[in-house]
Amino acid sequence: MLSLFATLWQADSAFPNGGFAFSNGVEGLAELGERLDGEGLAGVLAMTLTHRWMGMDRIAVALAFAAGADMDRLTEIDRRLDAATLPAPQRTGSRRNGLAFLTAHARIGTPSAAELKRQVERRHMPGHLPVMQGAVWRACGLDAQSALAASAYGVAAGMVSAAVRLGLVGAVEAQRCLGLTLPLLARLVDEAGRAGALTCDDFESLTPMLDIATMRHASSDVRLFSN
Amino acid sequence: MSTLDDRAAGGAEGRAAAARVGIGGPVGSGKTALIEALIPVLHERGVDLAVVTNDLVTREDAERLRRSGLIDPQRVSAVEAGACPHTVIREDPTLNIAAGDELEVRFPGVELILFESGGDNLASTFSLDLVDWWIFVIDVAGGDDIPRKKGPGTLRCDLLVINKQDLAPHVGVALPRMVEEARAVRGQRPVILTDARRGAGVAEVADTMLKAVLF
Repeated sequence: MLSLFATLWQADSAFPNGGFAFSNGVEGLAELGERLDGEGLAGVLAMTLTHRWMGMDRIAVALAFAAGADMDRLTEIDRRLDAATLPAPQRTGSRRNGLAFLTAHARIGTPSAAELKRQVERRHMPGHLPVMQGAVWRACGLDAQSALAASAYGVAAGMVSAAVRLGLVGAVEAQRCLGLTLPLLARLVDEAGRAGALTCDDFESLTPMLDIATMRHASSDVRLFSN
Repeated sequence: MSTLDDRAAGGAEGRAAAARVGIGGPVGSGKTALIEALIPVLHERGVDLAVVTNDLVTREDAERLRRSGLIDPQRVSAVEAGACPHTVIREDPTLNIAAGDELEVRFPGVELILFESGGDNLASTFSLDLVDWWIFVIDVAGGDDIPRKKGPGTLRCDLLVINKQDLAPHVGVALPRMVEEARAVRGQRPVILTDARRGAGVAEVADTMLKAVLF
């Protein structure tokens, strides 16, 4: 039961982790004129979760969770994820979001968070959000599967929230969209569990439209979100 | 295997070394102008300074300060507010805290970090997780009824600045009554009149701030 409550705590959008400032491509897609009503947004969520989260965040969270407090191993995973994340705005956003996440946990006193933050601030490691989540959430008492679930849900909920603030969908329609995505989240987390151990060599993503939108967004003079 | 626990010095992170001051207030009230006027005054008083700005849709405030020639551009950090100017200073100030921490790492001697809100409404307040002390800036052109509206920003800030005092006769504002009402709703806590563009009242703002957070 403690793991469930720890998961609810960490998946709660009220937990301060800086995530509200990142649309992770949603604002860029809107600027490109993509249809982002409820149906369109659901398609973007499915694409992101299936073709990016499953091959990137999911692996990083799982590997970092397994690494626990092994600093050398966490640094290796973090650097490999950095190298595998090609669009610069995604790299920068993930690193800034990761540092904000560490900032909250360091203030709270979560074991290992303050030292991870020091390593990131001194540029010894990039500080990508999924890697920091895997390491810190283990210290918070989440189990491995719940850590994956919280990561996937956070990605989906963050994009939906961005769509609401951009005025693309209403708040209620956004939650309908998120609710319809839950079976996909469950299937992906189940598949991740069955797939067994992966390595940094397995990092992959294939979201060209999202990547292009994110890169174009970076040069936009007027924007609400960091990426 | 080296572990995090091996390297950790003390577990939970200690409080920030530099004093942190928030400057909030409605859009257009003169927050950036006040900071531009404060910087030389603070430099004169020997304060080692850095600034974090929260722009809502652009990086205009950050770029304005960086290009001002008043401060080393490296000492100005920009944090995007994600369409939520309230959130970034109150409900989730972690991006701002991290930006302040990063400035402390890059400039180990920094004594004071100013956090400029992206511009908001009268309900905005700063989290005490983020700042030690904060200023709320309103202006006479926004209407002399602002203090009477008793917005949380007006009531709870450590210092209320009423800017653009020079405009009072041009916008039909009875300035003495506005100040009197501001002091009344704030329980006589500090209220300072400024004309940031011409520097009026700025030294008093600086001295009040420094007395509260550095001395």
